[in-house]
Amino acid sequence: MLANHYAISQQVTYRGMVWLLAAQLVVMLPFAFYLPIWLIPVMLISSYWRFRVLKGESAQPKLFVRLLVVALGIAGVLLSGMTLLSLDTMVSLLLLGFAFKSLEAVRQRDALVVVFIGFFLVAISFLFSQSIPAGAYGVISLIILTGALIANQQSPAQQISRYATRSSLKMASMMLFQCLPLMVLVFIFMPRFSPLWSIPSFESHAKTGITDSMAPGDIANLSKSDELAFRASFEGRVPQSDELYWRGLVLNNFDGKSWQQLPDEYDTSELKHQLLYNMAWNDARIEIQGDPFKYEVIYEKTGQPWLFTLTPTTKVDGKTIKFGDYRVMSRGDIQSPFMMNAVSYPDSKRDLELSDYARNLALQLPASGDEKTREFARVLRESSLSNADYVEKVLNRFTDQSYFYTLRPPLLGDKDTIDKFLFETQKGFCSHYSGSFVFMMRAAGIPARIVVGYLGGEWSPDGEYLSVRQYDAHAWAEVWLEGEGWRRVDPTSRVAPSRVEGGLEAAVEYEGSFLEGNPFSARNFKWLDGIRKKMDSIQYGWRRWILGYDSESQAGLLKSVLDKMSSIPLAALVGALFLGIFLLWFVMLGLGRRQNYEAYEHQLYRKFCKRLEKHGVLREPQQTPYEFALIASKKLPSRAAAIQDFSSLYQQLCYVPRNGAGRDEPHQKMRRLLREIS
Amino acid sequence: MGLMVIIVLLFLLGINFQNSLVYIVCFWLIALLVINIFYTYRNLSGLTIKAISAEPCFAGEKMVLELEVTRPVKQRKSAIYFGWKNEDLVELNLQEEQSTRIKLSHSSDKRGRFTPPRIDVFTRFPTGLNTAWSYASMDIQGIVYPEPIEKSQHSDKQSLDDETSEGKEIAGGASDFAGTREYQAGDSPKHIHWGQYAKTGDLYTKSFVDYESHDLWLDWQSLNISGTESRLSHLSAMILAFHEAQKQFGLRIPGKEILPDKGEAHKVRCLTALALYGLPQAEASYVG
Amino acid sequence: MTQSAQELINLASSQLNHVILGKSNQVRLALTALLAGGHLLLEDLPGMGKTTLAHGLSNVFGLDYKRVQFTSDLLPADVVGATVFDAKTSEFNFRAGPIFSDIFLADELNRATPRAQSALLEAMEERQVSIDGESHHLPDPFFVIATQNPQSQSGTFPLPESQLDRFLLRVSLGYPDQAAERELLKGRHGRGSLEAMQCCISRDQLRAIQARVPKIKMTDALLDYVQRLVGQTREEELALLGLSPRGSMALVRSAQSWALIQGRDHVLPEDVQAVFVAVAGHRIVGRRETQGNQLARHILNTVDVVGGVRV
Repeated sequence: MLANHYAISQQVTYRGMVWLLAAQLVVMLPFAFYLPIWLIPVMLISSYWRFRVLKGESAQPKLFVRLLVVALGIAGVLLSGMTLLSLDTMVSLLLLGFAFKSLEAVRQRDALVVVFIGFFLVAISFLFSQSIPAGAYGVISLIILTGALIANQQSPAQQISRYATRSSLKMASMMLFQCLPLMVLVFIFMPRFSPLWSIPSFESHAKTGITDSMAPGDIANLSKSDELAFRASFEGRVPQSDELYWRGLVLNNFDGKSWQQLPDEYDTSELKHQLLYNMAWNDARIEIQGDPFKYEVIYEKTGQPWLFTLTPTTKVDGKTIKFGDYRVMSRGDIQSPFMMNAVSYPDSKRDLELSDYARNLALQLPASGDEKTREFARVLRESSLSNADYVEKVLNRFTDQSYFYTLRPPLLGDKDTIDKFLFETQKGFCSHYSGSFVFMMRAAGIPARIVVGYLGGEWSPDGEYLSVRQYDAHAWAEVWLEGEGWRRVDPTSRVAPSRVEGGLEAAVEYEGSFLEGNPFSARNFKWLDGIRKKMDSIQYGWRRWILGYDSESQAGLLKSVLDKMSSIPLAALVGALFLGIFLLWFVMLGLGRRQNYEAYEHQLYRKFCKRLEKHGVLREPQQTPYEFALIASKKLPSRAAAIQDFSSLYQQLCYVPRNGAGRDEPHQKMRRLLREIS
Repeated sequence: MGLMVIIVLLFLLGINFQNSLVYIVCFWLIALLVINIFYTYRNLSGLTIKAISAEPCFAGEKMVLELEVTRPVKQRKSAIYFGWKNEDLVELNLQEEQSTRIKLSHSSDKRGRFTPPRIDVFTRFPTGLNTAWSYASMDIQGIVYPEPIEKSQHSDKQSLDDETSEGKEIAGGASDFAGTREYQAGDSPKHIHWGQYAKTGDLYTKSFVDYESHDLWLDWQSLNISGTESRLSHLSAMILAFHEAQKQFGLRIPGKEILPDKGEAHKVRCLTALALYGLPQAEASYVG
Repeated sequence: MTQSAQELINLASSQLNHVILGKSNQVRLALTALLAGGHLLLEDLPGMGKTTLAHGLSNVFGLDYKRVQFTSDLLPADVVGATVFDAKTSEFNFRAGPIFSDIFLADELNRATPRAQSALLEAMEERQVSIDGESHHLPDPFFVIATQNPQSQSGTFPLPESQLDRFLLRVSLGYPDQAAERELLKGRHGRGSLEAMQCCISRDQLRAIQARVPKIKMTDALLDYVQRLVGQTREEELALLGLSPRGSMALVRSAQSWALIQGRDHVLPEDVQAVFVAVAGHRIVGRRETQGNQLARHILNTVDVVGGVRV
């Protein structure tokens, strides 16, 4: 490159360094929330140190000192209990490097490196949070980083200017803004690939949402959170509120206190293998009936593989697996918003034949405990006509007896929890009811299991999509009946029908325990509802179109735009769009415009001269307008008047001082006279 | 270059984490890199560069080329570099002002016409991510005078016969004392010979003389130095010496005679004649 | 006064045209220099009416006029005056030289030694004379008309470029045309009629008119034109020495003065053109031994009047 032949002043200027440090602080700030807290003071101290060097108050640290500092930083990261190869460690090290790099940034090239790492870190911060505020903050960071780039290119002379800071900021914003169309275009059309290798996970990422086991109190905790779980939008048939049972996990095993998915403890990948082996999906087991729900779901990041669908889901796309117990799981843990399309036939019959494995699972009970309930179930079954009748009788018992739906149930202790609930406290919520119901079914020899997921959700104001939040978490039951297959039974609905109809808020309205312990949730302020719902729909757009934009959305979008276009017109379209953007820039930056340095009246006068030249009157350069008018009007008597008028107007405009009179009117007159002359 | 690496890394990161925002940062940087080309190009485009002068110099000195750089009315320019490789580099900013002048220097090695090589014009503004460059060839020629080297002379032939070596005396001058005369009204009191007044009681005025210039000729033929270049160098040195002494002199070299005169313009004329001695004539740019 | 300024100037120039025949342009340039408060350099052979012009000017304005013939033995004291020893009082008294006059004609300036020349030129620039540590102010309308023989004559000390710059305008009268010369020969005009001239502008009126010159307005377009002209004189290819900033200021002031004489309150390109050769001719030095006047005319012919940057 040409510039390399010259020794351009390579030093980072004072202002350039101030910009760098500012950009550095801005970039590092969001990491304060995710990474070991001691990193913050270390980074601040290193910035302050550099600032002192800048001010001339300290000396530039020597190589030895720098190495020592770096070594200490690395040791610190390793000692703070992070695994060597986890992403957190790497990000921490990168941050330290970023902080220390500016310490030794003396030359322009170092400054560039600092800014580049800054860009990289901005992107990294999105691995931790992808919320709208995080996005907005990222944009600000990008602007400041670009501003730092610009400030480093400005010459010292320019930086003295009062407007230096503002101008580099303005220019940075302008450039990034003008980048938008190209960025969007690339974003839309750049092919999306599947991950190339498995990625180290974040240790610091807490798993949220529903867990893979259920003790009686668990779901009550979720009910205290209004965090979003997922959003769904439907195409065609829209479900009623009592159809919105979002199946997530199936709990089969009861150990006397809590429910697990399978008898033995598995981690999720083992669980998948187990399920695939024993309960693989089989289309033949479903007898499809009725109209399907077609829907699209965007799941929030949970760090877990559970996906929540309507039962039974026959078709899903993306990196997902269907299982024989009608649940759907993601192939990996959900580390960033995940979008999926699915089709469900809610009226279908499932598993008219039950496999032995499934039957055994669905009849499992602990060897002992809860004797009273077992006895009660046996008696009740004997007095019932059929299994279906028995189910009905058990459910009726919840209605007839004084059972209460509450989020503040009394404690049940460690043993005979079901006995205690059914015969003593009779107060509880979905997990109590579904657990005891399944227990009673199994005690009577009827295959039954607990399904955990979400119930209901909140429709956006325009009914476009449904938001399901953590407090919508729910547990219900399934029983297997001869000739009917699996039937969904929700004992909670018998106790608190409003839980199904109006959601949790309605169900616990009387006791005010909704979102207990989260008093600042916007959900608690009715008057904020409008704003909250609007925010929610913005959030939805963000999730749906930005975070959830993947290869399938891309394909869908292209299909909807191009319909049947083949790849050649597509390439042409993309090419044309790129070209269009370049043209747009060309125009925006004023590159296409021919630079005319002359005032308009002079341009008009030149036109005038050209016209007269065609008529054979050539103006010599030294001829003044007055002289030339005399000569020209003598040669062209027919146009003399116009020529004289034009010249005198021009002379007036140019040489007669005016007191702020406008130029537009004389310009118009001149144009008119010009037409007359030709 | 560094940014490219970052972009590739970000793309991989985006792929592996399936993170749209990482993609966005990545693509935004790509767009920035592309639009930056437009910006740097714009920072360079539209400049009008006019050669103002190529200051004459002596061989071995630096030839200074003065340029006037004008920016388009609506575009401010920052950090544009003008330079000759291994010679000079000048940074230029045009913010408030419409145009400015810069000086670039280039070493000259031999006398004659000097055509400055093309000038590298480049800029890295605004971001330093890439460079826009261009070359400017200036249609201007500088004159390089022969290096002034005085050679020892064995003959005095070149000092031409004249009344005195200093020239004709002019009475009433002020440079050199020439005697005393009787006081006349109007004589400056500074020039009154007070010693004489004390002795005689009469006022005497000290009179001074100036010397009228006589025409010195620097003549090629009368030099007994061998070699064209060393003659030219010697003449060059003599011209400088005479000019310094404010003497009136003429120059005769084969094919050219410059009448005696003095002053800056005369010096330039003489030195130019020396510089262009034996070189093909450049065509006249106008007929006066 | 404002109304009559124009009339006064017209009256003055018509009277002068009666005395100096067929030289209305030069007369107007002389007036231009006088009104602009600058000095005039006449470059001509002897006998062309330089003295008549100077005399005529002094008569018209009712100013006093002195003339000094510059020779090689002229002392500075002969021009600016000297301190004289009065034997009776034993005191030194300052005796003002001929320069203490409103209009001073320095004839054949280039015959004098550089010392005498610079004494005059310093007085012109400073408008005061310092002798033996005392400063003496020159009269307020102070106008020097210097004449110079053409350069090539021998035995002269040509004025250096820096000193020529002190003259606002350089004009040459040139030979009269046939008709004018005939009139002259008939003897009805010329120096004889000098006495018949009337003073038509008083000293105060002259000062008032001089004060109006800088107020003549100039637009950006006009200044663009001036700058184009000036820029061209600095063009390397053409000139060794271009117009200095003092030179371009002189151009503007002369153009203003000329416009005032034309009775306008603003300057037109015509005004600039009218004075350009007189202003620039002696200030620029051509690259190829061309006369400054020729070069100035060449520049005037090649620079476009029309055009100007957007404001």
